[in-house]
Amino acid sequence: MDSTGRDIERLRTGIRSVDDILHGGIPKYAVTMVCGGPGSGKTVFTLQTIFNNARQGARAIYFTTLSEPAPKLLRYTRQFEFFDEALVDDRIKFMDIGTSLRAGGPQHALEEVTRIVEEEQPNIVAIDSFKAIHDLAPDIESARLFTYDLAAHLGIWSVTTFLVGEYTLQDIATSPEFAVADAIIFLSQELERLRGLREMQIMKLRGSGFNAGRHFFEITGKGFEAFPRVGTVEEEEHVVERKRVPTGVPGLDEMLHGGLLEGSATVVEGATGVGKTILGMSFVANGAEMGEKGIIFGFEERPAQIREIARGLGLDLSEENGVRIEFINPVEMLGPRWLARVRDLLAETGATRVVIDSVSSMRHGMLTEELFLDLIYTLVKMFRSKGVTLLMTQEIHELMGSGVVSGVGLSSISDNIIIMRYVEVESRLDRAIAILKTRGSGHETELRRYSISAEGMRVHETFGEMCGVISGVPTRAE
Amino acid sequence: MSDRNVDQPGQDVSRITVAEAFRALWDGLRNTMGSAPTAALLRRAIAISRDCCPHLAEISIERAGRDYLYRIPDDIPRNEETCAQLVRFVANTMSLLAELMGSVLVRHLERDPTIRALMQSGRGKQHG
Repeated sequence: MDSTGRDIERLRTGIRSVDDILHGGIPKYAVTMVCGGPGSGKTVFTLQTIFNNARQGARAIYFTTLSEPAPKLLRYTRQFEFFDEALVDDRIKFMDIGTSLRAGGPQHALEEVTRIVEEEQPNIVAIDSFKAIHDLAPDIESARLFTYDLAAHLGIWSVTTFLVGEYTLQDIATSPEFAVADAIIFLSQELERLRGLREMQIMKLRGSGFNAGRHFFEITGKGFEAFPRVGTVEEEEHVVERKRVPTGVPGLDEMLHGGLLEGSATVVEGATGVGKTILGMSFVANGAEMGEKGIIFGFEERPAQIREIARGLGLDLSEENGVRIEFINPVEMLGPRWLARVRDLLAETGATRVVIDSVSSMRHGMLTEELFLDLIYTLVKMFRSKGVTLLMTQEIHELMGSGVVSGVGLSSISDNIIIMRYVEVESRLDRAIAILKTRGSGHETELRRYSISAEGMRVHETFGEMCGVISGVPTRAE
Repeated sequence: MSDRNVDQPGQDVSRITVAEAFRALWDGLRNTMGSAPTAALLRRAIAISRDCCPHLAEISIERAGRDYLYRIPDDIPRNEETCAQLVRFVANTMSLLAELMGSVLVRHLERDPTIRALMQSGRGKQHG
C-alpha cells in the first residue's frame, strides 16, 4: 500500500525474501534496472522472477543482445530448480535482438522490441544485456531518448520490464537509463576475509517503500535467495503473561524466585568448562520434561556430542523428546541467513525455549561487532515477540576473577545476567554462581556454590563467612 | 478563460471527422504525457479496436526523428459507420487510459468538446 493508502498493483518476484524487501513486489508496468558486475546474479534473479510468474500464467519475452547467447543461457538456467522446460516457448520466449543491434544500431533494435511486444503482448519483458545497447548509442542524448521511449512504450502496453546490465555504482549516477527507470536493483559480490559475500541493494523503487540497505543473498541450486538485512523485519510484540520458566537446576530457580520470565533473554557468563553449556542443556531438558519444545543452536559442539554429554548428566535431549539441536559453523556464519533459519525453525517446531551456545563463538563469524549486536538485538526482539525464552552462553577469558561482564552491548540487550565462576577455596577449585540482573523481577543476590555430577547441575548453599568470592580467591571474614 | 472549460451543449457527433477526433486525442494526451507515451497509448488503442473499428485500423503512428507523427489515410469514408467506430474507439481509449493511470487524464480529456461529445454518445449508446 502506498502513502495515500491506495494499493498499487505489484508483480511478485516469487522469491519470498525479495518480495519482503520490496514490500510485496515490483509495481506492475515498472521498468527495473537489474545491475551489477559479471557473475553477480542478475540473469538468475531475472529468469527466476520470470519463471515464477510464468507458472502463475504470465507470458514473458527474454531478449538477448550481445552478452550471453540464448542457447548458453538455457543450458545454465536449466540446472536451477525454478527452471521448467514446459514453460519455454509456451509462456517464455527467448528472442535475439543482437543481430538487429549489429545491423541497425540501438534504435533499430528497440523498434524491433516494440514491434514484437505489440504482436505478442507479453506481461513481462527482459532485455539482457541492455548495457550492450547503451554502449552502442552514438551519444548520451540518444541513449536517454531511446530508453525513455522504450520505457514509455512498454509501460503503456502493460509490460513489466527488466533491463539487465553490467553497470557499476558510478554508472547509476551518470547513465540516463537510471533516471528513466522506476526501480534499481544492484547486485554485487565482495570478498570479506576469505569468504565471498553476495549483496543486494534496492536503490530506487518508485511508488513503493522498500527495505533500504544491503541484504545478503545466495545462489544455490534452488536459485536466488535473499536474507533481509538484520533489523528490517518487524516483529509483533507478544503479550507476555510474566509466567515463570524454571531452569530445571535445583537451587537456581529459588535464586530466580521461581525461574526466568517467559520471553526474556538471559546471558550466562563464565570461563571455559565452568558449566554454561550444561546449564543451557538443563534448561531445555526441563522444558522437554513438561512437553515444551526446545532448540539448541550449537556453535561449538555437534548435536551428537551435546546429546552424549546430556546423557551422562541424565538429561534427555533427543528429537523424540522435542529437542532440536542445530550446529552452525561460525566460519560459514552469515547473520541474516541464520536469522531466517531460526525463524523457520521456530515456526516448524513451535519451540518455546532456545539456547545459543555460545554467542562468543557466534561473534567470530560476524564481520563486525555492530553486525553482531544488531543480530543479537533482532534475535532477542524476535524471541520476545513470540514468547520464547532465550538463554545465551558467553565465554570470558579469565579463569577466575570478576571478569568483564559480557561487553556493554550484550548486557544491555539481555534481560538477565547469570555469572558462573571458578573460585579457589582451601586449595580446591570450587564453583560459584550469582545473578547479576533480572529485568522486571526480583532475585537473590548472594553467591552460591554449585556442583555438576552424574545427576546434573545443582546449586547449593552460599560461601558462608567467606568474602571476596567474586575475585576468585576468597578469604574468611574476620 | 478558454471555452474548453465551460460546459457547452453537446456537439453533433455525426459532424466530427476522424482527423478532428484524432487531433483532439493526440493533442490532449501529448500536452500532458509527452509524445512517446501518447504514441504508445494510441497505437495500443488502435490495436485493441482493430476488430470493432476496422476503418481506423490503418491509422499509423511512427517515429519521425526525435518525435512521433500520426497519419490518417485519406480513404476513410465519412459516414454513419465511421462515426460509430469513432465513438467506440474513443471509449476504448478512455478505458485503457483509466486502466493504466486512473481517471485523472480521462477527466482532463473530457473537457475537450469533441472528445466529450464522442464520450457522451458512447455512454448514450451503452445505456440505450
